[in-house]
Amino acid sequence: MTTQLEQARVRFLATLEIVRRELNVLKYSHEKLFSFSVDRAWVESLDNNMKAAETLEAFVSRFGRLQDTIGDKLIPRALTALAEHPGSMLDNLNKAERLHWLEDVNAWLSARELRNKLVHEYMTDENQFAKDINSSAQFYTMFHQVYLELLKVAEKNFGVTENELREYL
Amino acid sequence: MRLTEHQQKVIRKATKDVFGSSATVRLFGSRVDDSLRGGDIDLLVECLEPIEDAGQMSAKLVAQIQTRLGDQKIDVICTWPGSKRLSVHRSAIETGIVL
Repeated sequence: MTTQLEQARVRFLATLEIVRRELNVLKYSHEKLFSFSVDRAWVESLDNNMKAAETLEAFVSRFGRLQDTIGDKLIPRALTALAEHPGSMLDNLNKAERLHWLEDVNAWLSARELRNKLVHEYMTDENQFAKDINSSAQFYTMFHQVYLELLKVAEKNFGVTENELREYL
Repeated sequence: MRLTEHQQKVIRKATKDVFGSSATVRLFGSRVDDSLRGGDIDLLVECLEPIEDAGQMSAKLVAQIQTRLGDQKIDVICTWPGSKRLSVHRSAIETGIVL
């Protein structure tokens, strides 16, 4: 019979593997998008460039999905696996910062706000949209950093390496 | 206006931290109306100088307020002399309350 803590550990490791995969696909879209010079003219050209528009959509969508998976699932599940009690989103982020999983709660919330803006600005303000896309480029590193920190937790606390993660999903 | 003294103070301080000491902030939208309940916090930040990256600065302001007041929906728009003014900016200036 598995204990609740064992179940929580498996759930955390499975979620870590999902985040590894989501990071991987975001990295692809990130590199592809920022191989373009994203400015107002580029945004305006998207109506006639569906391929680039799809790359942009993929980036925004993967960015949002990854942030949700880390914030809403991975961090609370990591806390549960370590026998801590997860709380509200903000409580969990603060705990993550205290445990050095996350460098700065403010930066995390900024990324979330920026991504909400990206979803809404697309059709209304090309100039601001181009700027916000460029601002969001910096957050890939933040997401990757959280993943690396939680991978350390997996290795140190549960003896599971990155290559072994896929066995949990 | 439906913001406590504490909320107003937090918003004022965060605005100056992010946008500089000369920036002022105005509450507009449903929170101005005492007869309503709940709702987003809509803020207009007024700056004396043009803001190079209003999107990133607004996101920073929202983040700072959320860490202090809790996770809630906050919308920030900015204006400065010569900035493009949409109807939402005009209405915020007309109906909003300076905090």
